[in-house]
Amino acid sequence: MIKNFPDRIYVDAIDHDKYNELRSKSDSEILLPFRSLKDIFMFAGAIGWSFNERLPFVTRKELIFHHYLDEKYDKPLILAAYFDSFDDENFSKIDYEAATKLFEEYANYGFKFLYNDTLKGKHDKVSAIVRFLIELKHI
Amino acid sequence: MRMTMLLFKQIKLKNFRQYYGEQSLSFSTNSDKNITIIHGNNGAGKSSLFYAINWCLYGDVDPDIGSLVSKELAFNSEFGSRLVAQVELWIEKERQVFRIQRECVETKEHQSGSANKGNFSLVRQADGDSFRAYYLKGSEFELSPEPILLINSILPSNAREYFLFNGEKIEQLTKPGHERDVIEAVRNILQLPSLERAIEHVTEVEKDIAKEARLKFSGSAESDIFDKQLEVNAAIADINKQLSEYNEFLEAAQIRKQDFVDKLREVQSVKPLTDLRDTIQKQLKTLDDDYSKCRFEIKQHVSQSYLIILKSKVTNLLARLQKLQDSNMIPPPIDKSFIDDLLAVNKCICGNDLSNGTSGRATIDKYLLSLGKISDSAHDLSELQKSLLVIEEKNINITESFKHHCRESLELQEKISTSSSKLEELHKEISGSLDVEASTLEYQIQTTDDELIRIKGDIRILKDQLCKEEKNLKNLDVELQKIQKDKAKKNKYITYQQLLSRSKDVLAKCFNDFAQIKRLEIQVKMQEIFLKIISKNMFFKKVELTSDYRIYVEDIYSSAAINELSAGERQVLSLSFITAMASVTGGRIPLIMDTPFGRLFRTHRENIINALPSLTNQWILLVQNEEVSGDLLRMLSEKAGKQYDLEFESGCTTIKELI
Repeated sequence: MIKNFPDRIYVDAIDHDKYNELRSKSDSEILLPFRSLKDIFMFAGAIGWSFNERLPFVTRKELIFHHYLDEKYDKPLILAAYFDSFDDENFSKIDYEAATKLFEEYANYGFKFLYNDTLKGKHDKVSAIVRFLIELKHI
Repeated sequence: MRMTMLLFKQIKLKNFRQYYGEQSLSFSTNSDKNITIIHGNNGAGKSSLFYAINWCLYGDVDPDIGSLVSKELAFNSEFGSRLVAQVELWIEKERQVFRIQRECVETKEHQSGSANKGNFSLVRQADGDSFRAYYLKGSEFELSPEPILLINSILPSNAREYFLFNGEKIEQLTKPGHERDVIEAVRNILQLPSLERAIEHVTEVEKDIAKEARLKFSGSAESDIFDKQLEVNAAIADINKQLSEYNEFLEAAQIRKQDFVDKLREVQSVKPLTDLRDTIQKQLKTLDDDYSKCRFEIKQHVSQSYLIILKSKVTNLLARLQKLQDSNMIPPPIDKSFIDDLLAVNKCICGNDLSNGTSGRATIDKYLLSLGKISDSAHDLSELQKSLLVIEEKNINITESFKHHCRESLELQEKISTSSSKLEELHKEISGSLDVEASTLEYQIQTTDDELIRIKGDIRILKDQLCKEEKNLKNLDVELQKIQKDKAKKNKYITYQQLLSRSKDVLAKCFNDFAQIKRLEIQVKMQEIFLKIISKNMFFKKVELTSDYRIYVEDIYSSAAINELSAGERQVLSLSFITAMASVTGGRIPLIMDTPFGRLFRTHRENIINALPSLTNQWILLVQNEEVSGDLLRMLSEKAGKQYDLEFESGCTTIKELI
């Protein structure tokens, strides 16, 4: 199933450095919520997809290689989001490149929401995300 | 210019000016008798013939010359007729024969509303011009697709003035104020502009490369980075020094505090309180540790919380996929390896027999058969369904675990808060104790605590600064590596620039050497011809073509004599210059001269007639009868392969061959 994905994952060039701001480089950075750029991308994509909001971008910058995404959860979720964008009647087959692009656009919306809304001005970003998940009744 | 043997073979004029009907003449191509003499009185059609050659080759239009179509033809034609004037030239170059044909169309129109046959005007038709060049292939002429390019390759238009000229032009060339013409003549004949353009082109490319290199490598210099690295390293050393001092302060304050704490523990009046505080502090330490662990777990969960966010999406998709599966659009999400395992033991997990011939085996065989028939997309969706089932299960676990840790975190925070409040109460109680020693020690502990907080704060600030500076150092390292990489690339650009610069120098040297050699060759030949032709050859010492391409004549008194030359002498000088140039380029350019002897007296004419035929491969002379007659004509005729007479009668010229 996991085949034919493009080599790289791209994000809006203007957000590229912000991704790094949210990544903790060591366990001692307890206020930063994410362990990897891949986790931020998947989290952002999940927000966009769950809100059904996509945001295309013109100038892109490479974030990670596709193989950083795991086979068990991440890649199936990207394909699931792609399948979700079709009705049963209109779905013919999985286009791996289009699926990745779609999720990148979900992530573009999701990241801007996360950075500019959920985490804006928050020192303890881990708690801010927990609050966000509680507010949306995910936990 | 590389001039190869070039010969005019024939010209045919059809209703061109006074040449009514079709008239033609062949030029002498005999190398021993290479002169073609065309005699004609004033107005007989010499200049029209000369003009016809220019027009045919280059399309020159002289606005003062009037209509090109024969007036006789026009007179005999109806009003509104489209009348054609045509000139054709046969040229031979390097044994290849070319036919050049140019024609124009004019219409006969009434003049001032008059219907009188003779009262007409000729109006040039813009769409009537045509220019064609043919080259002989076998016995047939083939049309050239690029006639202008072809002509320029045979007789460059910028060099024509030096083989197609009239007497007036010859004289002007060496007149004061016409130095520029000489310069242009040499430049064009030797094709120096091509070399100059090559030098200009290389200079432009060199500039472009330099500009590109400037744009690409305009960042900081290596030395700037080294300076910055020194600054950052100094800042890091300074911070580390301060950190070391603050750590010493911290250690001293901690020892002091411990000393106060130990002393307070000895004060009996507050002993129960200090014991209780020790206990609470121990508990608080454990709580803090637990809270840290819990925070760590929460952070781990946050990183995976995208699975939680997508819980409902996954559930909905699974329901949708289930429907597709129910309607047999996709196969059930069963691993083939699982079925293989069952078949290996011929037993289902429920215990049913799966041996051949059983109903269970039949169901499995049917399923396996259907697997081979399913489409790629159905297969993909089946795989997706399997993955989503795994995600759904993971989701349940992670959500529960997340909730558990969140609850634990809240409980721990509450306990920590309670313990902290208790400690605060104990502090107040000890501080307010009537035992002065106890209250003083508690005050000192509090003050030291405040000091410790301040020091820790300062240390944190210093560590942040250190972190920033270390980051700066890393960035500088990256920048330095980039510069060092760029340096290699820049060296390539420098090599290109050096190569171009060298090429430019070589071209310039070639240009100068070539121009210098040719200039000297022209000078030697020009002096030789001039002294051969000029009657006062004892009076002139030398003729020079100076380094700035000016003609200089020196007399026997070693003074400049060019301004003192008579009109005839100037004509001889010009002729010498032009013939010298023709000779330097290979001596193979035909010379076509319209009334060249007008200003020359007999000796000069004789000298020219004696000297010129051996300096050119073909000499076409358009002369007035008075210019050459008697002995001169006899001398000329001996070297003439062809002679014609232009007879003008009743408005028309007829070409008559004499020999």
